[in-house]
Amino acid sequence: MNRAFSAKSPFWAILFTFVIALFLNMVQYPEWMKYAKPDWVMLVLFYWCLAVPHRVGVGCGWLSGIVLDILYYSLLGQHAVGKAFVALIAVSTHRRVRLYDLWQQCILVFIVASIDIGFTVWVYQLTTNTEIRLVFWQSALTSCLIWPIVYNVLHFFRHKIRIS
Amino acid sequence: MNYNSRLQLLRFFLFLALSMGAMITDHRSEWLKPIHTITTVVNIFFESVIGIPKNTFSLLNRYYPDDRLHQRFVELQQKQAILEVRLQRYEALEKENQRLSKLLSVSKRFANEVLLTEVISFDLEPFSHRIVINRGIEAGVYLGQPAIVPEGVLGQVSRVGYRRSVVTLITDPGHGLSVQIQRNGLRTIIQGSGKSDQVIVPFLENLSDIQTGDLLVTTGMGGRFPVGYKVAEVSDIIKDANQAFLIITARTMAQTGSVKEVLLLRNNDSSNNDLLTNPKPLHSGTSGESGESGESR
Repeated sequence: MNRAFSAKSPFWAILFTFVIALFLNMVQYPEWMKYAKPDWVMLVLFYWCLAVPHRVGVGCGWLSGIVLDILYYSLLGQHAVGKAFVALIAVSTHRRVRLYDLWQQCILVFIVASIDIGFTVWVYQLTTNTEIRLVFWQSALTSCLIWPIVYNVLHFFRHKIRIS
Repeated sequence: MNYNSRLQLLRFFLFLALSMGAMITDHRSEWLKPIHTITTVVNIFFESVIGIPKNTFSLLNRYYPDDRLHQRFVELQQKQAILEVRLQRYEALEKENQRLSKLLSVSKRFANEVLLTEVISFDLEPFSHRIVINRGIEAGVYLGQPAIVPEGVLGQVSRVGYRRSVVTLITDPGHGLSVQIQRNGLRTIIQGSGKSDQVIVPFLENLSDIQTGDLLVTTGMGGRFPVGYKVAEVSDIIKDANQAFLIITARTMAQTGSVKEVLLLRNNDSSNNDLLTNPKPLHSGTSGESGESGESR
């Protein structure tokens, strides 16, 4: 605990990136991009789980999901399950995924993001009997297209701050 | 070795169970309501930071107003004068109406207090039909309070927090509302369609007297919405001989995309106060009940 909060620790740096991602998730997008909002929190979580799996894991993912639930006024736990799942996949496959090309990682991001959205939509369908439409998964597509940018920015940031 | 994958899997299932528990409690009971009231502080922080660009812009506008603004002001002043005159007539009518309904011993269904609130955000998530408004428990907002805009009914309050509340729109698939056709008084219920500005009328038989362009207004049944507010206009009727019911879609009068201010109605009548704290249908057995008391989370 002491180490985590010391000045040298990357705790604040990682938290900072998460807060930025939360803000980006909250920003209102134009009407035509309504379904295509990229899930920044999921991307940032995915990156940190790949890069520093000993610091950011399932617990962090779940917490970020709970914060998202609060920000979206949704049921507590609705986003948290999906985010915990994203973290689980990233942490348990990080050795392999690190060696992938960026476009291969994109495909993985797409799959993981789709499952993440699936959890949320499923809970939403159970609670308000919304009809599930394929258009809800547009967000997974934009997330995977944006992954190279997020990856490079966070990679640069991590080496600047020297988080390991 | 914190990232041992078996440990992570174990943790995942732990958190899965925890979230499932939290979701079920949240959906089925009132136990997590105090938490929601507190967590809106986080929302206020995030929303105020996000609102900085917009707020500075409106601040600049206030100190450097342009001609158009002045013109608009004059226009609105004229409109206000006209409306005030009309309102006087309306007040007289309402008094008369109240007197008459007292004679008929009909329970009072007039909202006599209105709370003006601003919309903080809509499209929280693309598939949710809810908006957030800037008043909450401190202004006396309660669960199930009807929300309207000048064009018609918008929805009802489904979550109350500190300085924030969530309004579930009538287009939400989980929302039902008892309505009647203004032309002939035929009662039915409408249900959200999940598409913006669109509701469906699920339970009207093939021979029912309904036409495109019919106006649907609230019936006041269920005790939540006062009677006579415009809800939607029938836009499409499909008659299929193989189906028991007509397939009817209606366009809501309230255009959710452009809503900036929402009015929350409140009934000061003491006879209805127990209903406010304990939102349950007044009478059971009428056709509209099941719809309006239908949960809207």
